[in-house]
Amino acid sequence: MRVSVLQENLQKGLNVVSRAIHSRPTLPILANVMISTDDDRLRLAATNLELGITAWIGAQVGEPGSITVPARTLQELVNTLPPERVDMDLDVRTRTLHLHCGGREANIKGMDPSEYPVVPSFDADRAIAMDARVFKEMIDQVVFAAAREDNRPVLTGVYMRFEGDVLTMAAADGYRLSVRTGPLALGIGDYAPDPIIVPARTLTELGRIISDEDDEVQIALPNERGQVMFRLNSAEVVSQLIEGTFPDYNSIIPRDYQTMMLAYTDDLLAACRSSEVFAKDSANTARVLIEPSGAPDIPGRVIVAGQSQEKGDAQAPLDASIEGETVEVSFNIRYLIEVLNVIREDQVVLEMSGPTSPGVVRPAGRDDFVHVIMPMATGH
Amino acid sequence: METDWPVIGHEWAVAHLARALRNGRVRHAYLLSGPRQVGKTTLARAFAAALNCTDAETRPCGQCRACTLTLKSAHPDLMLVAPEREGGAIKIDQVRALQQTLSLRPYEARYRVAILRRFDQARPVAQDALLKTLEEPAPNAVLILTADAPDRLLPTILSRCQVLNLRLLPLAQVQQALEARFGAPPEQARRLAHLSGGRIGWAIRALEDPAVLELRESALAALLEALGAPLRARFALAEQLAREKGALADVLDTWQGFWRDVLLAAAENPAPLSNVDLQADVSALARRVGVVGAEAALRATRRTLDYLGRNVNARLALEVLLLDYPTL
Repeated sequence: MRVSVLQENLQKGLNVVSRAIHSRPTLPILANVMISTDDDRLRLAATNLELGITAWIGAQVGEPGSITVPARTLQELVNTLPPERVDMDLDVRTRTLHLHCGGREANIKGMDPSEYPVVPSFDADRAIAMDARVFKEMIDQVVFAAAREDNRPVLTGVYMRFEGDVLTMAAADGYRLSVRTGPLALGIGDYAPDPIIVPARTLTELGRIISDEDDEVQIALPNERGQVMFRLNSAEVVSQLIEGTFPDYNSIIPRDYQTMMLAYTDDLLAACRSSEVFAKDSANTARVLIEPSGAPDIPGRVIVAGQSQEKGDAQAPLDASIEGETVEVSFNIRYLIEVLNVIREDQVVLEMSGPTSPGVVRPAGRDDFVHVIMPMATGH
Repeated sequence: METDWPVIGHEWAVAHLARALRNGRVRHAYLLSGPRQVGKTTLARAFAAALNCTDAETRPCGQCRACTLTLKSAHPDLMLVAPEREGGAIKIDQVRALQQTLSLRPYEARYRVAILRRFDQARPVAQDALLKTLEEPAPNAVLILTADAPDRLLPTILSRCQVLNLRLLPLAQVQQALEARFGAPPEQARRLAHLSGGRIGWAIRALEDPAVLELRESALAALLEALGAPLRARFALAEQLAREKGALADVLDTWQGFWRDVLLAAAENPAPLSNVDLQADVSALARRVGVVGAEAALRATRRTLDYLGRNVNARLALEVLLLDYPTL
């Protein structure tokens, strides 16, 4: 293999694919990045067997070939190189990759590329297209609600269902639930794939990789492979699917409410943040009091209060339009902050049906995003 | 029955697993039990290769990508879970990480195969954590546990595994394998076969790594010296051994084999001795301590090995053991 690339491109490509490399890989070769020529581009690929990332960079290919080298070593080296042309030359016999850039020389010892796990190529036949920006927003609004670690592995994933021209994504960790729908640009016609559960970690990485240069994400479900693939402009992400059945979340979403408040997202977020300062010490428990004014022209009042036995307490009132009864409820304030963080609308709606029923958070004026939070049990 | 499995001995176990594979009756969990270094992990790996081999006729073929990578422990769908350090135990975090992986479909092969080595030494919490996986196995996952002392496994684990109990190999088979497959000279093969007591893995290691024989020799020298030494020297030995945790089980194994020989000699049993090179020491000691003394020492050694598997303080256990040994 003999190939030349620009240092900036190589650095960028390595930054993208190295996200798939664990700090303590289960097989030694998984610490490596696979480098191969692909027509007039250089293909970089890495996988941790759950998530695989492939990136392409423009290259001058002198002689085609492939090799795997330790990703960390290559990345560290490339970071120190000047922004010039990098010439790479592979000694097939010793599996040593020779690099030359701006007068500097380096040799990296590689491993047999045929031992590298197969990173499958994209199956464009039945790809489902989606606006990249919308998809990134969907990921942001759902992925944080998935469980970090759970003895029910399905909860560490995000449920994805393709139906007609709508994609539904949902995640839940037993205390909260996020459901978001988004339009599929071209619909899926009569193609009806089974719903899938994608590891949340994969989608988090995918969300980070999607850049402003990407207009469209293509999603493919290779038959019977237990994988899902996402194609961006110059990168592909493939993920193993989680086996199992996602719980029926629709029954958890309350259909009506006794109290409904409408407030400015920023105001509510600021109030939550100041109560969090003290709530941190008491398992993040904060009280939210929602009080209608009783008169039609006067706004109601919401008080968010956090308390710590040792450090003190904070109370943050804000104005809101409130409909229904007075209610006081305790929430894990982190959960409330996390969902408010991903709502881009100016105004947000909170619906309650008493202090022990789940609360519903949604952006005002939209019906494609619903978030449900279980209240915390309190002493009184 | 002839098979091409890359396993020495254990013909019935190989035949059993090959039959299960042929008839499509693979269980989701197996327990391979048997003495240390008798070939449990080797058999487990060969079975993993057979499960994922892509050859139409002979499985494992030893040639395809699945076979070569599995036998090198480098297959993406093979998870080899072992204690992180020698003499340690599999931790609950390792079990949890494995469960996450097993919840995913196989990466490129038919099955995801997990080999959990020396699972009998895992703490009950770690064993409990695995129980869930054994109760609700993922459809394409096969778990293979290995254990020296299966009675240390929780009964709930035992009852959910198919147990295959591997025995010591006949010495002649060990000798023959060392000669035929590893090119050992007949005399060396005979000696190692005897010293191994039928543990083929030990014999191969001893053939390839001189340190193994050195360890055995220094362990036996230390034992013989300690038997004639005052208590102070015995305590010093206990302290020194306890510091080398990795080698401890090997040392005790060696001592156990030695006391077995002494017991055989004291009882004038015609069974072949393991420590063929120490015949003189063995018979001298047999005359001094007799059947009762030899048996007591053998039992004490076994008990200590068992204690160490249960995570007791190594130095204290060794002190007790050396106090239990006869004084010359």
